[in-house]
Amino acid sequence: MRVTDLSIQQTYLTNYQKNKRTLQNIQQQITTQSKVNTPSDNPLANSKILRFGNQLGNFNTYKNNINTSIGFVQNTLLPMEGMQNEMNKVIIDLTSMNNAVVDDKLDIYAQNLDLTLATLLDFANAEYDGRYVFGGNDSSSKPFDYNAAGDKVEAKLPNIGGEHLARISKNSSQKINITGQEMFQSVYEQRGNLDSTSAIGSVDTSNETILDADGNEYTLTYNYTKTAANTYDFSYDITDSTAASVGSGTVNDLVFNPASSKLTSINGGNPEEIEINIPGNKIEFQFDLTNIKENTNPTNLNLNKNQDADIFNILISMKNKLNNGERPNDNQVKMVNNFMNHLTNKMSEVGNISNKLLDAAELIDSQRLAVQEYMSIEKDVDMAEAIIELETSQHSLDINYKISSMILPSSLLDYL
Amino acid sequence: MSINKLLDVAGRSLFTYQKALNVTSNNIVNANNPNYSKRRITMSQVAPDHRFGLGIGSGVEISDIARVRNELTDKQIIGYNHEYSYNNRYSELLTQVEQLYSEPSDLGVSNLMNEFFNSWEELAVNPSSTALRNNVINSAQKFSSKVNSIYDGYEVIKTDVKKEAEQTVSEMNNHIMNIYNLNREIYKATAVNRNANDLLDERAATLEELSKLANISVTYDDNNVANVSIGGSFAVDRVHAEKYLLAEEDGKLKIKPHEESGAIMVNSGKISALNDIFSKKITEHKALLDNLATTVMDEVNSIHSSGYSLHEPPVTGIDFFSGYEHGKLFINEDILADPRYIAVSADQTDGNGEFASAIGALKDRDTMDGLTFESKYSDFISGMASEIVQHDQQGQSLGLVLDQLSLTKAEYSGVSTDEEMVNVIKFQRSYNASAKLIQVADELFQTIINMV
Repeated sequence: MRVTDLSIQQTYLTNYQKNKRTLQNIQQQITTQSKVNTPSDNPLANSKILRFGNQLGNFNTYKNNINTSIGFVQNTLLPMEGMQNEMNKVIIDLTSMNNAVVDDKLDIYAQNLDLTLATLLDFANAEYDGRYVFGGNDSSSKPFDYNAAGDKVEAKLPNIGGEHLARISKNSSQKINITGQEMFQSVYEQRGNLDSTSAIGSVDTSNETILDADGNEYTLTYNYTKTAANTYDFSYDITDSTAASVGSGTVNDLVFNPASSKLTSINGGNPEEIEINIPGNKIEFQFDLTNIKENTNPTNLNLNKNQDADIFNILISMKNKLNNGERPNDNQVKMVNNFMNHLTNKMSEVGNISNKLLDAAELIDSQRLAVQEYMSIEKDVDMAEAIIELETSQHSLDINYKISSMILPSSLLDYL
Repeated sequence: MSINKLLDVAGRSLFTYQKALNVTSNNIVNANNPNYSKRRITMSQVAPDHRFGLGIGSGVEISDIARVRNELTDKQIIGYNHEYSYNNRYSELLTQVEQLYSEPSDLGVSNLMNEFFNSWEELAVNPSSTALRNNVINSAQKFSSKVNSIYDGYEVIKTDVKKEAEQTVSEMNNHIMNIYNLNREIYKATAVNRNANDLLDERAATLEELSKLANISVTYDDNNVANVSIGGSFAVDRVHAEKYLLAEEDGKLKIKPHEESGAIMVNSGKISALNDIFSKKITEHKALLDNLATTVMDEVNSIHSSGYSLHEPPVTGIDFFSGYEHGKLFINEDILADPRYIAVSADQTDGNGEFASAIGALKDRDTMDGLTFESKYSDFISGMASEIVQHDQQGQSLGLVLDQLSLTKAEYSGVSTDEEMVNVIKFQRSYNASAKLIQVADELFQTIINMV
């Protein structure tokens, strides 16, 4: 091989460029602390980094949702605890007012009830972050308020039944509110299976004893009449103790899906609760048909009641009675106790939601740590290794410079 | 043999070694000129004097000054140059396109698009919150702005690429004209048996430069004239030289010999890399961005238009994005002016965020050719990155081959100062010896003259 001045220069320059390129890469990695600064640095790692980055973004969103939800849930629990205290006072009063010595002081109990009602109403209208805690999906006005006559507390139906859902992971959403409807309204949930093999025209009838706010008993009779395959008409009749009808109604075309057995529509619309309101008899409840099914395994139909009547109007009725020198009847006392149980159950539900949110937050934190670690493996620079590489490259470059001054100009010319 | 003859031989020798020293010094001063080929002197004996049947030598002369050149290496360099140039420039330009996406970072499309969808998820938890509504608008603006900046970036790159392509074609024409003139000069020199080494060196260097711009092929005729074709069509010889022009037709760059003629098939070299980026690659990237932006717009709008706003009474049928045009994703002006127009309620109540949740869930839906937005985009970016790596590696590999060929060329045609200095000493000594011979001849003359 013949060695010429140009070949020495070219070899030197090629090696010098290689050294500089290596040095530049390491310097960039050290200054950015990232091995992947553009997708072409490592296409596969880049693809993973994008995916991990989005996962981390999603975790932040879920975490934000959880934090917002925890705030909401905790501020749901506060008014519930307040209500529990108030209801405890009512229960103590109900016990103490049975004593004959307070016969002439029943109006004081009435005043206490009035104060409790006002406090309960405040708690029922509690707000958090611009929303009514028990207002369902409607935060435009108070969910509960007295009617114009001031003798009844009315709820803004149906919007107080709206659920708040928060996405807390890729595949799950959590209900974070206790709706005003489930907390304060009387909801009769229909359970059981209708017979899909029954003949058209057949009628499935059931009865249930119900109470009004005054504690009076009524009989609710309801029928499902088959009008076509998978289609029924629903009718109800409420009779008093003398068997006289105080209210009745019919809802047409309850259509079931034969494959899923579920109710798909009521009178052409989405399945939703039927509101039954007989003001003259202080009867008001929601008849929830959404969980009734139709299949080849018929079962008895039964009603699952959260409470017999709404607590506000029970207390108003009791207050009115006390003002008239009359004590609340046993059914009313029973309804107050039932509400207390209902409240305790709901508080426990809120506690469960809170625990679930905290668990989800913990899970997200651990998932986030794992993803950050995977991302770090793909992206982050091992500083110790990088600095050693930098030192080595710098050393090579220094030698390169030294050689350039020693070799390049050297020729016989220098020795002549 | 007369004393005069002795002076003739010595004088010729002086002249020969002086010439040899000139050639050697020319080699030395060109030692660092990469386009120079070492000149080799061939000396031969002047025809001897055969009078008296003795065959006495008549001295030395330079019979040839040859250009040391390896034609095979030259051909190989020209063959690899255009491929190297193509891959190198292609990966450089695609890297510029790659930088537009700002990946992988918080400012990249992937993250901003994800943030946009996540802002809907957060709104779903508290749909009546003005802060969260503004957050949705803000994240939509950031996403839209990024799409727009990428689109603008494409246009800037296209403009730059076109300018560079025009300059490259102009450079190509200059080289062609230069070769044409050199061909003519070489032809003239060859015809009168004149040494054309300098012209040949200059033409070889020009051909090398031209081969970096386009895929050329070169043949030489008996008169050492180079016939060059580009992309299979004639470009230059001794009697004619093409002058190419660059035209943009249907969004594609074309190189033509004349305005009316068809385009030549340039499929390698720098000009081809510029053409591929301008005509194909950026068009592909634009298509993906358009597809991504319009799909996001259509999918979001299809859900949003079914929702109800926060107004009393609630308004429905509102599009979130009002349109997409030339990289601009427009957010509904009404929404920008009043966030209450964001319509996410399914039941007209202000606390229902069902549609916000549905829009947020779009990021996990296979909406683009059976892939999620993120997967489609990520696949595209990975594809682009792999293409850069592939061309970069190919460029590096061809670069190594070219380095090796250049080294071979330098070893063969390059000047070694050491060698030349040895020659200098050699020729100087010979010159000194010839001068001494003249001195001897002079002394002989003096001796004879003094005898008279």
